[in-house]
Amino acid sequence: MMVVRQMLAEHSLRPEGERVSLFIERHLFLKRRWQGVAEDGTAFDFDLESRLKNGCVIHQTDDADYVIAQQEEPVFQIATPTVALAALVGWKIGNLHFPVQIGEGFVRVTVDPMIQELLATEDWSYEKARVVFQPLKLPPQVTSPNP
Amino acid sequence: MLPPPRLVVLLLLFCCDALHAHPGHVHPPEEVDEFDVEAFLSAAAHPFTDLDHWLTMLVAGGLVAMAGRGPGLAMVSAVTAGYVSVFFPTPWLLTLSLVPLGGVLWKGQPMAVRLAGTTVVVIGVLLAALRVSLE
Repeated sequence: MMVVRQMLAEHSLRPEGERVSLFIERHLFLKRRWQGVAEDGTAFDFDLESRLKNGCVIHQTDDADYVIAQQEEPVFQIATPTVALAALVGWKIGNLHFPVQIGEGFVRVTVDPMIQELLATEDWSYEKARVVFQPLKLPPQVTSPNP
Repeated sequence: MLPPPRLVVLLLLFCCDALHAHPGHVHPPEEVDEFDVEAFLSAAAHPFTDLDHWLTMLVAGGLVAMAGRGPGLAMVSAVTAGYVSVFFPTPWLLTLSLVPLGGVLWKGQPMAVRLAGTTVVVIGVLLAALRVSLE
């Protein structure tokens, strides 16, 4: 099993067809020691000295780049068409200590019974979506968008 | 057997919603960010952040306690097992550590304890098998 200690590059420069993804859950970006298996069955042992990023290259062969891909997860995507509503949503969810992802005209938060309860009592427009959730709580180098 | 009166009073305190500092105010569980701290502290905290290490510690501590070696040695053994388990593939370590636990529980124990021990062993082995199948 190959041992990965750090990313080789922040992004792969090879075309899509020459990339092999290793899908991981979001929480693994916070861990130093773990194991994972890429799409083609190649197993990796991670003993990390520094953080990985979504889309980073962890291993290269003559034929392909092995890249980290964050798995999608269910979230509530709440529409925030006005600044006042965005502030209110941010305040109410923040008071529950849930991490959020802020986008243009929406706020995303993980699916949780407490949030569900909050949404049931508020007249907010929202939808359940499945996305690569990148909350603000994670450090900037992890939350930066994919190329 | 009824719990002692002081324990009942303490339990009642924790059952009362009105005593919460902020009603409706929750703190969802947070993942430990191992990159937020120095490497040494991260390694020191690692055995306490995963279920498999917790199980290994419980098994090691339980074995020593049941051997009549006292709570101090049981605790030291449990913590040591937690750290040692970091260096081994945990599913196999779990499986191997749960088998002797089952043996100890089975030998000369009341039926209820035997059944509980067997349940622990079976769940542990299933968890280990699940981890192996996912890796």
